[in-house]
Amino acid sequence: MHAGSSTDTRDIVLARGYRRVLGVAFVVVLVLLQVAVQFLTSHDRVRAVTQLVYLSVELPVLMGALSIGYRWAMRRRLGSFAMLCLGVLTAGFIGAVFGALIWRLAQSFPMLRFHAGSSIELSRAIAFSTTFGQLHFGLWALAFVFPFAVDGARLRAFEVEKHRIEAEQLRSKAELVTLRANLEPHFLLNTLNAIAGLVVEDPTEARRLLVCLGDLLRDALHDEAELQPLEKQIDWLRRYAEVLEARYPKAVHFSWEVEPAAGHALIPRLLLQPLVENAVKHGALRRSQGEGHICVRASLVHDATANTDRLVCSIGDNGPGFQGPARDAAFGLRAVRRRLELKYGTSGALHIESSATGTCATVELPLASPEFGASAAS
Amino acid sequence: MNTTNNSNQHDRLRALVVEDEWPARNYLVELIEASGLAEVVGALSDAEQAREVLHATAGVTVDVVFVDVQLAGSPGDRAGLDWAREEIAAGQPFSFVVATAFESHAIEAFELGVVDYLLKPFSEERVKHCLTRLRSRHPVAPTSTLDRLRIVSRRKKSLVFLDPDEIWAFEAADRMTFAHTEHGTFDLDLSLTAIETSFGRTFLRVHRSWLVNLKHVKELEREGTETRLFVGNRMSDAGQGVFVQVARDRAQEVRDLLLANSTGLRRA
Repeated sequence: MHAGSSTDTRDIVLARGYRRVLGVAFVVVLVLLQVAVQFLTSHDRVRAVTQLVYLSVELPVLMGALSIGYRWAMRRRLGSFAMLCLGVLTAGFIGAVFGALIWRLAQSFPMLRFHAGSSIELSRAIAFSTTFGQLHFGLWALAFVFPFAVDGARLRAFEVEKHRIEAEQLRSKAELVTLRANLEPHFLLNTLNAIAGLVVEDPTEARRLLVCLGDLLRDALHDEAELQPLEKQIDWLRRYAEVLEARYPKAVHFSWEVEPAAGHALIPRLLLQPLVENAVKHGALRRSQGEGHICVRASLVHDATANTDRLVCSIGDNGPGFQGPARDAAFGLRAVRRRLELKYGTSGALHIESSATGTCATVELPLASPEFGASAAS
Repeated sequence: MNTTNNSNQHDRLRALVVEDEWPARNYLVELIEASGLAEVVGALSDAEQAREVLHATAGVTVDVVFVDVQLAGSPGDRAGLDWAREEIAAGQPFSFVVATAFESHAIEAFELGVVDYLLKPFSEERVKHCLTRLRSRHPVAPTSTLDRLRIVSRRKKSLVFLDPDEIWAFEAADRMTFAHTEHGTFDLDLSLTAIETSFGRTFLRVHRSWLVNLKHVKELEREGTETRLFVGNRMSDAGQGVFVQVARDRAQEVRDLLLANSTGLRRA
């Protein structure tokens, strides 16, 4: 997308020199056409030649002057009305000068037959050629300014579109970053507090937790690619689980059923973390009695219709379940859903099943994420 | 010396700790006890139990409740704060101190009438500072000598209040703490270290997982390098009590301490 846009811009810029040639050709054709029409209606060869000579002198002078004036006005950043006035005055003045010149020539050399009928007054000749100058001004604008104006408009529209796309890409990138699960400050501070408490009671355990927390922080703070292998994510979640198990002994217990073949599948960074957090907070810890249990499963499932494998991960707990998720649980679920949507469109999914004996959250995603992944992660 | 000690004892605030995390709960109990400004009358893991303890007629008198803003067992993101609001609105005589990771919670808590807050991670200094402020604000009325510190424990879903003298020994096993008494065995929400800080004078740590009431030690047995105690009401053959393993590196110390307060056996 990006590479395509820059070549397009260059095409438009290169076209400028070519447009100038086209403008000159357009004027030449019009002049020839006018002279030809004149000749065909009057069959006056001398008159046609003088007119041709006159136009090939007057037009370049007039148009050159207009172009210089235009460029000067552009540099001065004059408004369009001031530019128009400048054009009218230039064309009028040059037209009048040429009118006077021709009147003088017509007086001195009648055989050139500048005017069809008897000689006219000087003032009328000047008025006529001033108006004629305006006509040439119009012709000049049509040949030289109009195409550039059209190109400019196209270029501007193109730039606007380019900026819009860039802004969109930035937005979805920023959204992915904010949606990305991370170590919640509360989790961090509570864990530090727990470690401070364990230092006296159980120094070995305190040390083990410090190492866990270090690993968690290293991976969470390091801003890597949006996708990571599942096995890496499971490793992270195991550390996370160890910390929670230490903070809530008896109340939280984890088990893991991860198919080795699923380990290499790519999955958005720490996608499952909010689901694990919910299973602990709103599941295992809500039990009034007995041990809270959380089971994390991951496997590859063959999708017969698309003839590919899909990654299926589920996080189940034996909590009391929920009817209409709690406010804070819903936020985590929304973030997971949105990330799946941004990355996989309609081919990724999150399902929640909840009953009085537990809740199970299941994430399903395709193994490869061709078009969506490319645009969102680039 | 003895009298000043006693008066100090009764100047101390009586604190209840409500904290859902095991290490944090023990830590806070240790810090409160170590400050010498307050004694912990109970440590619980959720607001439900705390409510029961505070409103039970046979319950405990409390000057201050330390409660975590977030209590995982209860619904909502700030269950501790919600509970404090309830109690304050009901005009309870005790003060509340909230434990929180962020000051923003504390500001909200002040509006509810909570008297102070404790930032995480806790530290000796923070707890001491908090208790000093509490004491200057609410001078403690001396309580009768009868109002002794008791231990709150659980049996199934009900709460039990135990007198330290009734307890033979505390045992830590697999992240649980049990109190062995003549009435049976009870669960506790505190670690041995936390209990030791509260009752260190009458209880002795004889093993990593045993805290023994010296008054109830009935027998000391040595077999090779192993030493064990029988703690209970009667002798081991009568069977009312528990056998307690003594750690090898503490065996000599335990033996000396027991013999130091006894006569009848010729010292070797």
